[in-house]
Amino acid sequence: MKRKSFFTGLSIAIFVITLCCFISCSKRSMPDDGGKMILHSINGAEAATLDPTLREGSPGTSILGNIFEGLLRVDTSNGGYLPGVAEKWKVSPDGKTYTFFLRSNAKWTNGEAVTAQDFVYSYRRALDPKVASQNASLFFILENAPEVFKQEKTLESLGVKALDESTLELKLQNPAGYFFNLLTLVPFCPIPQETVEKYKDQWTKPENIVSNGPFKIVKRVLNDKTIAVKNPLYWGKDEVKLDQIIFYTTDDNNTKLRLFESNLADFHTRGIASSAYPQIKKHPEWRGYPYLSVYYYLFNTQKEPLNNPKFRQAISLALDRKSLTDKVLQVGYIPAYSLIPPEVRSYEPSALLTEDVKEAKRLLAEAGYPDPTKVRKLTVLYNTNERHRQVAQVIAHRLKTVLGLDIAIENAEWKTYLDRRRHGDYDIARAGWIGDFEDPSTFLDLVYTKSQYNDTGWSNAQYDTLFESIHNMTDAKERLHIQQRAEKIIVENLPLLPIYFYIADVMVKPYVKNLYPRNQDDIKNRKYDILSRDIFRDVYIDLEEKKKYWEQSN
Amino acid sequence: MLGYIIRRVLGMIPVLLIIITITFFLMRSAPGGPFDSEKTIPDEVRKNIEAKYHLDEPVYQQYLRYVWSIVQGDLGPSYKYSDRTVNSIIGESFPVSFQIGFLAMFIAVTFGTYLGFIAALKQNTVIDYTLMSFAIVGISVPNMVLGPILAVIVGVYLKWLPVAGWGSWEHYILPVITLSCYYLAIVARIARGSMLEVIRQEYIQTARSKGLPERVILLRHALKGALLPIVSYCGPASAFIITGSIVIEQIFSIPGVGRYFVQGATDRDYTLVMGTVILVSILVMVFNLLVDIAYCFLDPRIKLHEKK
Repeated sequence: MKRKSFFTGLSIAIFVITLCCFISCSKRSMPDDGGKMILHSINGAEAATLDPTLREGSPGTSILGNIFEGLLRVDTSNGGYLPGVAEKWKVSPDGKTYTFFLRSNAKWTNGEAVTAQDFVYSYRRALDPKVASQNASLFFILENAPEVFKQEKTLESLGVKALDESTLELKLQNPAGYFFNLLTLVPFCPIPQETVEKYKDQWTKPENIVSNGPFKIVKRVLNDKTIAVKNPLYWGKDEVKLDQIIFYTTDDNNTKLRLFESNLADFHTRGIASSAYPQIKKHPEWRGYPYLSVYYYLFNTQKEPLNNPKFRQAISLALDRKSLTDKVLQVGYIPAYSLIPPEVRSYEPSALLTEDVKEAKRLLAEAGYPDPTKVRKLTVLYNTNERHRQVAQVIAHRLKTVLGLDIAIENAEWKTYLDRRRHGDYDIARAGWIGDFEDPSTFLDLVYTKSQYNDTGWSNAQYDTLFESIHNMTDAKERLHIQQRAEKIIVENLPLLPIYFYIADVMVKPYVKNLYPRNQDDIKNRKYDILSRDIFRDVYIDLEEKKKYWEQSN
Repeated sequence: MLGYIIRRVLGMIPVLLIIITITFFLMRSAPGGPFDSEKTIPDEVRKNIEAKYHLDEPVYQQYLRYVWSIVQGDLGPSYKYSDRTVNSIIGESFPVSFQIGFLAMFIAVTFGTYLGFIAALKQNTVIDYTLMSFAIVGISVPNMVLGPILAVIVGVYLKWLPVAGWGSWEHYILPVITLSCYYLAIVARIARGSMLEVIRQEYIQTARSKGLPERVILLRHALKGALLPIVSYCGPASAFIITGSIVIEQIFSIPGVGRYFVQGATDRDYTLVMGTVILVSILVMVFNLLVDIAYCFLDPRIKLHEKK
């Protein structure tokens, strides 16, 4: 009897405690940010580094774009440029010498002035082989840069010079229309020499870092969050409305969506769970807009039968890209009939890929394969990922049904996949490319013979000559013409197979204002940054609206 | 006793060295390296980076260099997070995993044991069947299913608790519940089985026949014996649970150490993987030692003396 009452008593006690716990839980109310304007942003994976020169990956770029500022800053409403640290500038008639006049009130977070010398230090550091920046090639446009990088010339010979404290002269190898676009990129931001030299690798830690952008880092917890607050010394501080940005580090797409849906985050970028797309797409908070990137397959042009351009053409002709993107993937991707995304301003493709099964069969026969079932089994290699598997399956099935080609698909873990690609150990391999700046050359580089990115084994002398000559063009029209001719060679030879263009997809709460694209009209009117950089300088939060939103959704 | 512990601790050193050696060479034999990415870096740059981390030296030399730095307590720099060392990464993330793991294990052991004992004492009644059915559910529903379900119901629909994140006490609740369910169910089943066995032992019957009250029999005599299998299960399990779970950390976005086992390996962040492997190895060995020590307190038949 005693035993019974003891255990019954204990059980009841536990039950009551648990019940009390649940009853005491009530719905969370809107977090009290103390009347401050705080943007809660889901930023994706952990930023690999906060050193602008060494910048790597989108999550890091997003944070850096908000805490550093270069000579020019990006105009988020169209991806163009606006004055940044440089107030004014002039360009020489030959388009090779740029003189920038820095504003006197541009300051570092430690109170010191941002000087022309800071830019000299930063640009030289980017090309210093000892620093080993993977962004070094972006600077090759500067005079002597490639030679400096190969250590054939000294760092001092680089085409960047401080004429005085506030005047910076940049000399280019060749004139380049996209140079202003380059200057808005993170690696072109100045870095604080004294701090970098004092703390070495550790200079990007929150307690050491010195920056010059609209926000400054105050806290960073690995794989949790990075907190940036408004920088009171920023020259344009009156235009900055947000008091704080919290960048949450979360790499699981489902978790990101739950954070957004439970109102813990105001902004969600980089990866929406594919399973959620059917509902998300109808959501007014969802925005998908063109992104400077392409999803494509590499052909190993060193291997039979892929060494035959006609065979490669036949594969492209047999595809049905539109049903892949619209019916299978259903995430708003845009079928790619060219390598260069059509949204790149200043460019228009002259030749587009077509799809025609009859023509595909004819070309296959012409290539020497009248009976496609006799072609050896080809394998599509992709890095392990649900979407890549889906695409590979659809394409393999399509080629089997319309052409009779036997295609196997094979996944490999990321680094193994990269290693095999690099060593040409594949037939067809999945690949993706995000352009560095808004200019066709960032895509045309993919198949240039000497390019480190060319894993196809394809080499075409005519293409190489055209590609090299692009850099010497002063005339915009002529330049466009050359680029078109180069892309035409790709379309005709197909060392790689464009499949679709990615979109940048974001979810934004309605009370977050001034974040482009603000709505579907902005997308139609190209009011967005095709590099999708998430710059929050001009963003603000309507606190009244936010309150109402919380009340309604609760 | 002290001599025994010292001997065991000394015995860990060669074991650890073997683990380090195997892991080191296994990692190096995997294709690809820490600095491979889709945006290939020029060879000049790669050479510079590799020289900076001594990756250009012969493997045996790298191995010796690594072992020497471990002896000095330095786990090396992380290749992925260039401004951090492995020591600082583990130092920051292990306490997080430890807290969650400790709470989950505490709940699993206390509730699991308690419920298991109740089931045993009420064997073949509705209570027994109900509890054991729940235990089966707890074991068979993986936490990658349970976690998101809890997050959606409690976080998204009811908005009682945050769905993910780290920072306040509220952030502990869902991950701890998710993590503890499986262990709670296992402990409950072990507890039920061991209690059933113990209460049929002769010494319990002796106690009963002496007319001792049932409560004293259970708490003073049966409990100790019934705890043995639970202790031996919980030792190694604790080592794994407090070093984090990648599933829980991903679902609830927790900055714990669990993710680095997988991420470190996929990134070929050699030093980070080595660091996490060393951490788990040490913990497993320490917990096994603790289990052996606990045994001799719970079961008077077990002695830790050396065999003569």
